Amino acid sequence: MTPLDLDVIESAARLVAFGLTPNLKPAREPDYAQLIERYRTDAAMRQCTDTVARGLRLAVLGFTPQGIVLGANDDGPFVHKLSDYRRTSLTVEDRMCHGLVQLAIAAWCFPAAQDLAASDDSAGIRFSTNKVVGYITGRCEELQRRSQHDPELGSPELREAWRTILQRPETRANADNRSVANTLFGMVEYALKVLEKGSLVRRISDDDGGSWQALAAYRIHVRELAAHDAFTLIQGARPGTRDNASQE
Amino acid sequence: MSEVAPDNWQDAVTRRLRTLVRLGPLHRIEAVKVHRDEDLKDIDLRALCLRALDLTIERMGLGTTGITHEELRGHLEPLVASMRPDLSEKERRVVAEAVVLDLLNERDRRREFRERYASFDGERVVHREISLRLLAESELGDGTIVLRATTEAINIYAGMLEYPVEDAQIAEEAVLRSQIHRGLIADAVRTATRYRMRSLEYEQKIQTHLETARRDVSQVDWIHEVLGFLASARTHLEDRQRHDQDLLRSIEARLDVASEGDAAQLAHLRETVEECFRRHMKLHGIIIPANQDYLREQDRQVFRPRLAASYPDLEADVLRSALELPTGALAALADSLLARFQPPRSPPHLRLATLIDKLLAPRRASDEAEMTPEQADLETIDADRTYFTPDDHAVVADLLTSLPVGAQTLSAWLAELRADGVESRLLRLLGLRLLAVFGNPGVVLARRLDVAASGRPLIDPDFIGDDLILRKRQEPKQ
Repeated sequence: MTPLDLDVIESAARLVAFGLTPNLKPAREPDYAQLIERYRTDAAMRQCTDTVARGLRLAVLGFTPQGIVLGANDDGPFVHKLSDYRRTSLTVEDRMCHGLVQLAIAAWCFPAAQDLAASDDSAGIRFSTNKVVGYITGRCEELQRRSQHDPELGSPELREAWRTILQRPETRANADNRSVANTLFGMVEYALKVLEKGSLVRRISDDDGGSWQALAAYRIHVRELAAHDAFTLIQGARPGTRDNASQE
Repeated sequence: MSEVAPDNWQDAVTRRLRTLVRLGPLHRIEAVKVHRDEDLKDIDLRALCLRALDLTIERMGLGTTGITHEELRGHLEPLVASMRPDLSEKERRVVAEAVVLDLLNERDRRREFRERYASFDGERVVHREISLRLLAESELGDGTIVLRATTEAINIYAGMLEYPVEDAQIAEEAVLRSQIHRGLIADAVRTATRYRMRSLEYEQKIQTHLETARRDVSQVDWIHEVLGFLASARTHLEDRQRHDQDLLRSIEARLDVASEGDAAQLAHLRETVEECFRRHMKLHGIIIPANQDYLREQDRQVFRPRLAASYPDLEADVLRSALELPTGALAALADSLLARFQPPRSPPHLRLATLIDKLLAPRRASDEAEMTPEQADLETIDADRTYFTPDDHAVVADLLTSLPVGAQTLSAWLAELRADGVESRLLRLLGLRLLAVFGNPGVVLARRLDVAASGRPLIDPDFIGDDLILRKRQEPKQ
C-alpha cells in the first residue's frame, strides 16, 4: 500500500461533498471547478474520489458543466426510500404508483437508448406536469385498447398495474384536488420536486401545471444508474421469471 | 465554388438528394402548420427558422457561448409581428416559442430529425435515412442553458451542403485572400462572415467527435478512426492558423494605406479573422492532448462494465413491461426503482435546537404535498359528540331495510336516494354502515346484507373510492 496522501483524500471528500450539495455550481465556486479539473486530469485524485464515494455507498456517475453527478447505492445512507418519501401511510397501489411515476418521468424524457446517449453537456426536453400525467394515462389506455379480456374480480394486487391506475379514482381527480398527495398529478409533481432538489430537472414556469426541463445530469443519472437496473428489475418480476425476481 | 464532378449520374442524384432532404425538417415545420392550434396564416415559419439559426450562429463567437431560449424567442417576436401585425403580444410569443421548440424537435421529444431518401447503388435502389439536429441546448457551468446551432444547421445556413467542412474552409479562405489582395474589401467582409461560419462548423464537428469517443471508448475504432481523425485535424488546424496569420498580415498592410471608409471595414474584417484564428488555436489546444485523454478515459471505462452493454429503450422495454406487471409485484419494486431514479439525499440529522424551534413554532399553513385527505376517523371515534344524531341512525336503518332484493351497486343506490331527496349527511352515514359490513362480516347487519367489492370505481359527486355490490339476503327462516 502506498503512503496515504491526506491532501488527495481531503480533496476527494470535498468533491463528493460538493456533489451532495447540488445547488452549488462550479462556475460560482472556483474551488469546485478546480477539484473537477483535478478529477479529470489526475489519476490519483480520480481513484481516490471514486474510493471515497464508494465508501459512502455512493458512485460517481459523471460530470456536466454544472458539476459532478452522484448516485446512491440502495443500501447506503444517502438513498431516497419510499419511507422517507411520504410520511402518510401508503397502500399497495400508492407504492406501485410512486415507483412507476419516477420510471415514467425518465421514460418520457429519454424514451429510447439513443436519447440516453446524447452528449453530456446537452440539456434535455421541456415538459409539464400535466404532460407526464397524460403520458402515463395514455400508455395505460393504449394497453386497455389492446387488452383482449375483461378483468376478473380478484385480488387488487394481482390486477395489472395499468388497470389499477385507470381504476383509481385519484387518477381522474378534478382540478380542485389534483395536488392532493395521492392523486397521480400530486405524485408526479412530488417526484419532480425531488428531482429538482437534486438538480436533475429545473422548473421553468407554472404553465400547464408546472413546466420543467430535464438537465444533462438527469440523463447521466438515468443512463449510468437507473436504466439498466430498472430493465433487469422489471424483466425479473414478469410472471414466468419468478426465480429471477426472488434473487433481487 | 465548383462542385466535385461525380463519377456517374447515380452519385450525382444521390448527392443532390441528400442536399435536398436535409432541408426536410424546415419544409415540414411550414407544411404542418395548418394542423396547429395557433392561427399561423401569413406566417412563414421557414423564414423564422432561418432567422433563428442566423441569430444563434451569430452568438456562437468566442466571447459569447450561445443564445438563451428566452433571448432567441425575444428576437423573433418583432419578426412575427411584422408578418402578422394583428397578433397580440401573447400570440406573438407563442409563435416565436413554437419556432424555437420546432427547431429543437421538441414535439418528438428532441429526437433527431429523420429524413428518408432513395439512393442508387448501380441499378438497385437502396432506402437510406439521414438523421440530423438543427438546434441543441447546452448547459454552462453557471447554470444557464444556451442554444447552439449544430454542424448540420450551420451547413444548411451557409448554403453549402454535402461538402466536407474542411474543404469549405480552405475554399472560403482562398477567396478571402484573393479579395483582400485585389482590394475588394466589401466582398472580403462578406466572405469573412462565411469563413467564420465554417470555423464554427468545424468546431462543432471536432467537439462531437471528441465527445463520442470520450463517453464510450468502446463505440469508436481507436486505431483507425480516432487517431486518423486527430492527425488530420491537427494538420488542418496548423494550416488554418498559419493562413489566418497570413490573412491578418495582409489586412494590417492594407489598413496602413486605407482610406477612412475602407479602414472601418478592414477593422471589422480583422476582428472576424482574429476570432477564427483564436478558435483554431483553441481547437488545436484541445486536439494535442486528446490522445492522452482518450487513453485515460479508456483506462477508466474498462472498470465500468455497464457501458459496454447498450442502454435499454425505457419506453418500449421498461415502462410498458412495468405497466403490465401485477400491481403487487410492481409495488414490491417501488423502493428499488426510487433508489435508482432519484438523486442522493443527505440523511436528515436531528439537532436539539432545531427540534425545539420546530416544536415551538406556530403551526404552519397546510403543505399540499403532505396533506392528510380525510379526518373521518377522528370525527366518529368520540361517541359523546357524534356527528350523526340518533334520528340519522334511525333513518339510515330504515333505508337499509328498504333496499330491494337482488344485486345493486352502491353508485346506483346513492344516485337513486339522492334523487329522492335524501340528505348527504345521511348518505354518508349509509356509506359508513355499508363499509363497516364490508370490512367486518361479523356485524349484525351482515346477516341481512352481503357487501362485496365490484372492482370498479364509485361514481358519485360526493364520495370517492371503490364501488360496492350490495345484495340483500333472504330473511333467514326462524
